[in-house]
Amino acid sequence: MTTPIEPPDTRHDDGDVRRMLDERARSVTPQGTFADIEARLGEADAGRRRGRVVLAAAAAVVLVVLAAGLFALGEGDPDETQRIDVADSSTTEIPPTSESPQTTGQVTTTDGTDGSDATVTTSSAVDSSDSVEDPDVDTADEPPPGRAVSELTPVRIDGIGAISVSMTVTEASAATGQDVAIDPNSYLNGTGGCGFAQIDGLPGIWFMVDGDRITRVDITGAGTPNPTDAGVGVGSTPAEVRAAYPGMVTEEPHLYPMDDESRNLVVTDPAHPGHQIIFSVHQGAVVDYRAGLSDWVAMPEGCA
Amino acid sequence: MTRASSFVDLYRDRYDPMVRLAYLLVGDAAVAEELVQDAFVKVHRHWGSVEHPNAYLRTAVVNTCRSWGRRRAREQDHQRRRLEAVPDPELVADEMWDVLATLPERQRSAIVLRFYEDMPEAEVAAVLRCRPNTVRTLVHRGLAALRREVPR
Repeated sequence: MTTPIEPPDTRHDDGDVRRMLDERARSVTPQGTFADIEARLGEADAGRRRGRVVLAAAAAVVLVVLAAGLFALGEGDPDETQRIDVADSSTTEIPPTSESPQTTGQVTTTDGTDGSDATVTTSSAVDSSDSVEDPDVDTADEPPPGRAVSELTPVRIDGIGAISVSMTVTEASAATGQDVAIDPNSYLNGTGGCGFAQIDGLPGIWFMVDGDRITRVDITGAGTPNPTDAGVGVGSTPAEVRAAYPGMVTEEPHLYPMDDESRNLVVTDPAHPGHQIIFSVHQGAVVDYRAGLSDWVAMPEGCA
Repeated sequence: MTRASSFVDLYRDRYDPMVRLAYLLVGDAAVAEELVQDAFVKVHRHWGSVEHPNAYLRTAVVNTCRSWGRRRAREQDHQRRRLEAVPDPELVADEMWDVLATLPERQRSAIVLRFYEDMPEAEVAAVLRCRPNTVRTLVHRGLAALRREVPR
C-alpha cells in the first residue's frame, strides 16, 4: 500500500507568493567578493593536505601492525610460507572500511570533502614471503557469496542484510556486491550533503546517506516487501508490530495524518541504543517504515 | 575562455542570484552568503567534471542550504523556530514570509524553486531527489499552509 498523492491544486493563483519571494530576494545585497571564495579554496586545500598526512600516518601504523603479525606467524612456523588476505576485514582488527592497507601498496586519496573522507586505495593481498603475488589483483571489493540484498532481505534496526548503518556507500557496495548508487542530480560529495541511494532493481529500498555514511534504510513497499527480522513490515497492523516488538513500541502523531488511525509506531531496542525503527501507519496498516540511526530515522521528510 | 577564467565568470554571473536564492531558503542573508561560498568551493572541487556549471551550482546551493536547515532543525524544535523567525523590522507586516520560514524544509525548497526560480516540476524533483508527483504534493501542502496562516 502506498500513500496516495494529493491532486495538484491547479486553481491556485500563486502570484502573491511569487511577488513575496521576488521582493524578499531583491531586498538582499550580497557583500561577498571572489576573494572570499579564494580564501575558502585555500582552506579546503590545506584541509585535504592535513587529511592526507593523517591518512598516511594511519596507514603506516596499520602496516607496522600487519608486519608484526606476519612476523609472529612466521615465527610460529618458519618453514611454511604464510599468506594472509586482508580483503575480509572480519578476520582482522582493521576498522570497518572497505579498503585495507597493504605492505607494498601505494596510498592515494580521493578528492573528497575536507580530507576526512579520503580513502586509502590499495591492493588487497599481503604476502609475507615477498612472493610473486600480482599486486594488481584486487580482491577487496569481491563480496562473500550470497550477501546481496534482495526484496526479501530482512531489515534490522541497524541495517539490512550485509549493509549496516554508518557504512559508507563504497563499503555497502563492497559488502553486497551490488552498486549502491547515489542519484548524482540530488547529492553532492561535498561536506554536509544528504541524499538517498538505491540498488538497481530494488525500487522500494532507499538508503539515506549523510556526508559519506548510510544513516537509515527506508522501505516503501514498492515491489519490495522486505519485512523486518521480527517478521513485520508494510501491510502489518499496529497490533502485529506491537506483538513483534513487545515492550519496545511507543506511538507518536503522524506529521501528515490521513485518517484517525494515522500514527507512527516507534521501536526502540535497549540492545541497540541510538537506533530506531519507525513504522508509518495509515488506515490501520503500515504503509512504509524506516530503520537506522535515531537522529536520521526521526526526520519525517527525507533529509529534513 | 580557459576553464579557470570561466569559474570566475560563473562567480560573476551567479553569485548574487545564488545568494538571493539561498536567502529565501534559509532566511538569513549572512548565512546565505556563507553557504553560497561553500557551494562555490564544492563546484570548484568538481570543476573538471562538471558539464553544466549553472545547474550544478544551483543544486549545490540548494543542498547546502537544506543541510544547514536540517542541522538547525535538529537543534531547535518547531515552535522555537517559529518564534525565532522574526522578520526584518521594516518588513514586520510580511506574514507570508514568516510562515514560509516555518514550513518543513522540503516544502520550503519546493516553493522557492518552483515560484522563485520558476523551475518545472521535473527539475525541482531532480534537485530535491524525489518524483515530480512528490514535488506537486510538497508545493500543494506548502501553499496550503501559507493560505491557512495568511488568508487572502
